[in-house]
Amino acid sequence: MTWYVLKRGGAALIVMFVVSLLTFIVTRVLFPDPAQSILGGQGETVTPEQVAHLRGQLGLDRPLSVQYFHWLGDLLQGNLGRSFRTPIDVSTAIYQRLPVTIELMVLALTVAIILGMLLGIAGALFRGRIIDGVSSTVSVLALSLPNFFVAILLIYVFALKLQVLPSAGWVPLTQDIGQNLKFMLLPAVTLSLAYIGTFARYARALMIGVLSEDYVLRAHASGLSPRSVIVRHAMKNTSIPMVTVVGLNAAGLVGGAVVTESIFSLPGLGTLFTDSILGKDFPMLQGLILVITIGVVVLNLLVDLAYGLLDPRIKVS
Amino acid sequence: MSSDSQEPLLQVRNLRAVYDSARGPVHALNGVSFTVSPGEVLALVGESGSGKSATALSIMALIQRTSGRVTGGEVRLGGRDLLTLDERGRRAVRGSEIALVFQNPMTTLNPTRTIGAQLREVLRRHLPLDRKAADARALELLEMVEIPDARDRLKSYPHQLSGGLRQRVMIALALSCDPKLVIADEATTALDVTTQAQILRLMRRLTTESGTAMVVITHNMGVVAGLADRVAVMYAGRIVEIGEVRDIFRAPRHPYTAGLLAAIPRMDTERSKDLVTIEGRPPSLLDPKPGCPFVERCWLAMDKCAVQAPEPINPQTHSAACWADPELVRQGPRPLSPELTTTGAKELS
Repeated sequence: MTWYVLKRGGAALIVMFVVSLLTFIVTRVLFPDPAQSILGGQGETVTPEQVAHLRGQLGLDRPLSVQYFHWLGDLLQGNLGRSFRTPIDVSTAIYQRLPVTIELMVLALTVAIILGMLLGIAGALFRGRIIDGVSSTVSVLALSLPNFFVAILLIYVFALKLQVLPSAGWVPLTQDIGQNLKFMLLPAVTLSLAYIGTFARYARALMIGVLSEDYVLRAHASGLSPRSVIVRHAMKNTSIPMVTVVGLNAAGLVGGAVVTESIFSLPGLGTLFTDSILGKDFPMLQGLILVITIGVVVLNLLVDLAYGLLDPRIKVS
Repeated sequence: MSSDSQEPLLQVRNLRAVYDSARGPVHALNGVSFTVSPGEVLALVGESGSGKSATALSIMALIQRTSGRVTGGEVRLGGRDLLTLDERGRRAVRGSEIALVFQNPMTTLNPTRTIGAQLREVLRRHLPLDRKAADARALELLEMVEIPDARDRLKSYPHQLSGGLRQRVMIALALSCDPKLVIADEATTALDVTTQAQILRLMRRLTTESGTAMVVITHNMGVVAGLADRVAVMYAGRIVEIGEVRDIFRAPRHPYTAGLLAAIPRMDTERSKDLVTIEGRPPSLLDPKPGCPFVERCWLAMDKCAVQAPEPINPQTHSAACWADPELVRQGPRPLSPELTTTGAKELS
């Protein structure tokens, strides 16, 4: 197991290094001349001298490789640079908004895993019957509705008509949990919906596969009750590949979170991201891309480790 | 239940079952009857698709889990008809009174749970044992099936064991609750030849010691000769011949049995000689025709055979479901001549 953790961790480190390089290159391709962008954005006439001066200040006149290692060095000390738009450290801005996005993703993922697994397993257990039909219809519907449409629908029903939930805004979790969850509920449901559908489809297919395994028939032949066969034999063996499914989809969750946050005006990484793109705030973008990508890499590492814990066959290999 | 040893332990009467397929019901069992006495070993032989496994799954009332269903007949175990029991009653019988050893030990143990957990689970399902007692019993069972380092093996996962060891675990699992009957469905087919012999000897010894009856499903005549008291030969979902092993080996009464026996290669068979085979293929079970199912492959086929099914076997004695003269069957198979199969003619000698 230790060797397994080291191997996975090492691989993750290499990925992170590549990610930092790519982030650097991509932002430079998007903003070939940040100094021009910054000064041009202020709406005044800019002289070439001013641009050259700012380039020198920002170190943009040095070779790209030097700039990269300079940036990487700062990065390792936790310094992501300063925003071009507002007088704030990139790391501070991200640190302030990270909890909102994490909470949104954790809530959405939890809801999606629980409901998706229940829906899919119910479909598999009652395969070919009415429950299966309902489960399949609901999950296909859930995964095919676009999430901005669902958001608008939910806002219309719960915020405008019923007036039970707010349509926008946010209260910190630490300040008032009840209020916080009230603001988070609609965004979390919106974000989770597509994943409920996806997880239900996977869970159904995996469960059907497991139910046709010899060891399930053997468990029945040993006289075990259907409940213990399902819980102790089928569910465990279904949940192992589900970990991978959840891990792979969690990466895409970030994209969904960006859209969802914008619709519900949640002050998370998503809104920061859209604001930074519109404001051509390249240090902020660089930092955001880096943090999000590393987040996904760490998530995948956790999935691999969870896999190792759940599946005894991994330990020896 | 009677303690009288003459009373059969298991009585299967006119058992019928079908598998549902895209092309309609496949008639897997078409009136199977046999008995097993306490402590007896009955071998069920036949080629693939003859209904051996369907018989095992029907007796266990598990066939519906493999897209099949029982459509008629009786399975009596000590007086009760298992097919009319409710699911709860059947569950109490499975694993405790009748146990099944499956063909492939590589896939019949759950790969994510330890051997100990899987043994304990079955023990505690049927016996009033607490965790500690179940652990102790599980250890005893592993020692009984001669697994080395049994204590460590309880904590092992199936993938850490070889095929032979896994099948020993399956045998331990089957014998864990002292069943009256063990059905071994091709229990050694997936193993290499030396391991097969060891597993067979072990099963024979353990069931003899405990007086457990066995139904051994196999297509290996060597297994039949070495292990069984009686043998039932299956063909196209029917038992075509049943009797004591030595009677059947000495004087088969059904042409199919005679063909099977002739097909066994012998130590003194000349290397250059082709092995004997039974020409043709078994009939489709999608729409069974009247008459004897073996008629198209039989060198003794008569007009009558194609239209009228022979009398079913009598499970108590040596008997065969065949119209032909037993003396002609005993003389062994002859090649089919095309004109004979079409006209359905008579004796050849």
